[in-house]
Amino acid sequence: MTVHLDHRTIRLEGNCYVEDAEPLLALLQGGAGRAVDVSAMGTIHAAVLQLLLIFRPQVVGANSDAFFNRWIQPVLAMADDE
Amino acid sequence: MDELRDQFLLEGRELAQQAAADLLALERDPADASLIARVFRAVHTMKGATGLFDLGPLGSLLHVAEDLLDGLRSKVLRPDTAMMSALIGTIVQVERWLDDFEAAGKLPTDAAERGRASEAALRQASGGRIAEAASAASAADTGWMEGLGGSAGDRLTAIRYVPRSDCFFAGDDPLEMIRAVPDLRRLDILPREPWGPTDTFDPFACNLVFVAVSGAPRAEIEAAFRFVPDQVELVALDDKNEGGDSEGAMTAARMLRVPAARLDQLAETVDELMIAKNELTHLFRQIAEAGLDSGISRALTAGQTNIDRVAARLHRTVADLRLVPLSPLLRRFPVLAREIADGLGKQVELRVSGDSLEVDKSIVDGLFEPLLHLVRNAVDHGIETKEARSAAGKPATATITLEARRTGDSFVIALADDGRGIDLDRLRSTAREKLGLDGADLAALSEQDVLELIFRPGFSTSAKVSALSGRGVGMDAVRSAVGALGGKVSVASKAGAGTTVSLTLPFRIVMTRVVTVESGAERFGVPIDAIVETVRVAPEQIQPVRHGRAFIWRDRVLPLLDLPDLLGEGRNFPGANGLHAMVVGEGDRLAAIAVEKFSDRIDVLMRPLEGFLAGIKGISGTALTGDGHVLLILNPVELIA
Repeated sequence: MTVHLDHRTIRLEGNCYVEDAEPLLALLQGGAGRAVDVSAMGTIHAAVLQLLLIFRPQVVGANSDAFFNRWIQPVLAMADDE
Repeated sequence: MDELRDQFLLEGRELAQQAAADLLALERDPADASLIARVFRAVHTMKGATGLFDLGPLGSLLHVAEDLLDGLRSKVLRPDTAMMSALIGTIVQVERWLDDFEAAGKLPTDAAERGRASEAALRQASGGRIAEAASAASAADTGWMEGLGGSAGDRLTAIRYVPRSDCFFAGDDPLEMIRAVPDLRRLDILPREPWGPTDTFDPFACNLVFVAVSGAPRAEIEAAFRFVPDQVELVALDDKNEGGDSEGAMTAARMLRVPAARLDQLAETVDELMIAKNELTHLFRQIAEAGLDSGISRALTAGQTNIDRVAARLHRTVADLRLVPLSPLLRRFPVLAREIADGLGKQVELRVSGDSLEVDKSIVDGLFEPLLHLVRNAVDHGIETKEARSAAGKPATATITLEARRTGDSFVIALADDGRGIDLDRLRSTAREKLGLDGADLAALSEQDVLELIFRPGFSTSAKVSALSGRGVGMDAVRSAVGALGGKVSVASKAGAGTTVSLTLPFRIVMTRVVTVESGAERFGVPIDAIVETVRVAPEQIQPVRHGRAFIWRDRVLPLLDLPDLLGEGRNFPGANGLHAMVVGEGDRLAAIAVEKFSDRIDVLMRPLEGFLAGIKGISGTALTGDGHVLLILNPVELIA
């Protein structure tokens, strides 16, 4: 997977693995208020999900993975509300 | 709504109540092995279900209780009073925590400490043999769980998966395992420990807990977690009543959970419908009086009767929606009484008896605290010490009965103890000290009047304030709590033979919608049902008629009366700027009552007048307003009569 910063949005592309957690962490720590775009993301590793849960960035973009949309998206949305 | 949590609370309470009842039965019949087995199963099932939530101290306490029960089951331990007390104390603690969990979504802050104290009591009661019993328990454990798992049907399994924090290094992706669970019905992802500061966060330490529900067979779920079986707990969600399952399932299918707020909304709409219907009733009467075509008039009357009937039925049906059984509330008290008695070194058996009644939910909810206080009082003050009881020739174990019965439109809950009764002389002397009543006043009071003194604010006969009864609430608090539900409290006592406190309550809380009207500095309520119409009378409409005034309303002459005058203040509104008035009365006897102004419409719980207020003409009752003021409710028909 690639993790890259596009202006103020962090884009996740392809399947996310455990090794993607470290660069993502650096980008999330690097600038408060950065959004994360998941539209081009494949499957998501628990280590990456964990980062989204702790930093609670705004998650943007529609993902095509059914499992993500049914089960993960609501958990992230819930974190957003708090 | 959180279904998983609701189901846990529902089942947890049932299991706790069943365990409590079985423990009390076990105490009477210590040889009954089936009772021990049932309590063990109840505690075991509860323990399993607590794993779904963040209820560490509860799970831990149940675990120790389970070990003790397993010791009893395998006859390593023998039941004795200390053990029963510790187990009953545990169940009481569990019920309290369930209440806390329902109210706050978590356990109170002192939970860990309390849990440790209860666990210590259990360990001590076992004579330090719990550890020994525990090994036997684990062997028995798995067998029992397997018995529950394998059966077919749409059984739900709850999954709690706590990945080890170094699982990422082992190459695990916990999310992938969850993804592999077939027929996932629910998924929560929570932090295991609170998230720390983000700047020092270790991305390679897993801090996640997955709580899920699946409809798949247990074996398939186990397959999804085959590499991490040690990190997963599976609990069958409907494993508690193997035998009576079909009945339970059928009841569940016919039940529907509805938020109370929606019911209230429905009830409010129905109330408005009733008011609209009353307005129509008046119109129909006018039409009938106008002598229009008699065919239409008859048809209208028939239609109106129909609407009346249907509306009344609708009103009643909606009110019935709020009715819940009273018995679950009462069944909580045997074990509570037992626990309170343990703390005071007394032996008490509380028996629940009486009719199965259904009562408005808010009444049931509002009764727990006052009843608990009464039970505490009975055990603490009513029941004598063991020595005093044996000196009086009474059995060492005191009996308290808690009986509910129907009496016409209301029901009575009577709590009777076989203790020492209330000492009237002591009441009199306390009344002298604390209420400042003098001897002559007291001498004039009947025995019943003296008894009633306990309901006075600031009255407590206890010479020393004990930890139990001295919680800052006295019988006056009980009376006001019951009064707020529209009920009454009375007390009867016989020296040496015991005390009975009776609560008389309505089945339903009947709210009356009133308009508040002002007259000078005072506010009154007028039931909306009693007002035909509110009108604004212009100065030129007001016509003097002999000593009074009148005005024309819908082609008829109505007497125009003044509220202060009707209330005996002998004062009239000048009327130079016009008047606010309400048209009231029945049939032909209509009149308009002028008021200073109309303010809010509010729903109040109306109470009939009592004591020296009773019998005042034109006042039908009182109500407490939201801001704590007493509102007198007028009866306009009486006022103009």
